[in-house]
Amino acid sequence: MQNLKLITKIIKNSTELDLAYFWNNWLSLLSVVIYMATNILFIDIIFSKVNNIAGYSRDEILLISLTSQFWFFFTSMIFIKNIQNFIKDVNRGDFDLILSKPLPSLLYTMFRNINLLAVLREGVPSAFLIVVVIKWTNLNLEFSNIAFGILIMITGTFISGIINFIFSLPVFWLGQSQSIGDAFYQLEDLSGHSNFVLEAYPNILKIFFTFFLPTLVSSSISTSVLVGKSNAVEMLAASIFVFITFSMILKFLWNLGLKNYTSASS
Amino acid sequence: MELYTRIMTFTFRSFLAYPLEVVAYVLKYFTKVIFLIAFWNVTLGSTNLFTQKELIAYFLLATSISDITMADSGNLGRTLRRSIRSGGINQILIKPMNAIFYMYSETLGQIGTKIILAILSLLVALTINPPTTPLSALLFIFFLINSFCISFAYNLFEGSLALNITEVNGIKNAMHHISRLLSGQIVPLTFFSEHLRNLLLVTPVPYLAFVPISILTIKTIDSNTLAQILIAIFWSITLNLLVLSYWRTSLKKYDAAGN
Repeated sequence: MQNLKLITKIIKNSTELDLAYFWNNWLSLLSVVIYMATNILFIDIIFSKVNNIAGYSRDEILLISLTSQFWFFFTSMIFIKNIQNFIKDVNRGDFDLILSKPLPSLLYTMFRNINLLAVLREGVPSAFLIVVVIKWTNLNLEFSNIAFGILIMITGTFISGIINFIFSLPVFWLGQSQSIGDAFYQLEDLSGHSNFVLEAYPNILKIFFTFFLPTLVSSSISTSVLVGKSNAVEMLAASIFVFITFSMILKFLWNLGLKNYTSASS
Repeated sequence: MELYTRIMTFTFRSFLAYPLEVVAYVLKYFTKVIFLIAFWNVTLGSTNLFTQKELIAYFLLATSISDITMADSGNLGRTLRRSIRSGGINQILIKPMNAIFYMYSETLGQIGTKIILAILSLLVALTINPPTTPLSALLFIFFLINSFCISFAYNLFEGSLALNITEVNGIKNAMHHISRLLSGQIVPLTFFSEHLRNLLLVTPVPYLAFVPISILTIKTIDSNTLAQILIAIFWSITLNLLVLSYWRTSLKKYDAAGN
């Protein structure tokens, strides 16, 4: 109950902070619309020269853009922002202030800023643009695949948040981990999103990017399930397994990191 | 000049203080290039539009040129934006030095590793796909300098905007998305229809990456190449004059914290 209250306060505070920058809000909206328009143009340019990408048609590739958008807005606007603040705080010694608060430190650090307004303001128009240009009749979507695909997409987004957080934890030992985090985020973006489909990988890399460095779950695997190219139940089970495993790894490493953390006031 | 070199060296050394960060930075750089090439390899697998060698050379060149000139992530623009938003620019403005040179030196120090990697990538790419004639080599250098000038204006425009609106992430992202696609950084402009390509070549954007790369294959200067040279010079001069004037005007209006 206390955690729920905390999260509600955080959302309210983040929204007020976001509304303070009027021009940036509208320009951010313009930015995502332009981004999506250029991405659609990019895909159309490619499909003017090729018939498919690793067996995916134009509309199936646009569908992976849609699932990538879901991942992008939740990960970059909630998890990544909080991760960047966390790294900065440890680096500058401000993290002591968080530890001194009577709050669950991991939860508070992960969700200190939840800018839901920005996610909705920018995510919805961007997704709407793709929804409009996809020729849905060209896609062979079944109800069960849609349901499982969405579940995998949501689980995958949380996995992404967790693993990005894990890659920021070296800051406890090294004092800085921004480039380490950035390197992983870029790897995740390029390997699991950015129009890169599951079927383009050889089996060994599929396993690696699903279980060991899970970058494929939220977009590539969920899209593969949505269009019926992968077994929905197996993929959902795999994503839940990965989610639980990496949650435990995060919790373990967080506690280990806190023990090793030399605060500014120590 | 010595002062700016010291600023650059100091910032670069601050970054080197975290060796694992440097390793991660190097990994990040190569991840970008490898996945870009892998994506196009998968995409063009069944066609004969590009050979494997041409593909690798193209994207190594596109990435390295846009990194050296700061056209890709607008690093100078980012330094300017951040210092304006945090108010850090006030400390620079009150000192007897050029704020733009200061910021440029600091940025060069921050991205020193990236520049070194980009130069190495450029050399590898030029070894794989060397200029066809001495003339194309000379023109490549000319267009590289030109790309730097256009990119400088582009970065400074971003900083000037921040003086007026403070938080310009949105418009910066929009500018980057357009320039990445239309400059040939993520897709060669040969994929565009001829009409669209010709139209784009009148604008400054393709001169950031696509034109310097495509010039490597020319053998003689024809009317098209001549037109490209003139357009490139025109945009380099015009954009820099306009943006410098915008920067100065914005700076005069800038209301720093503490005023």
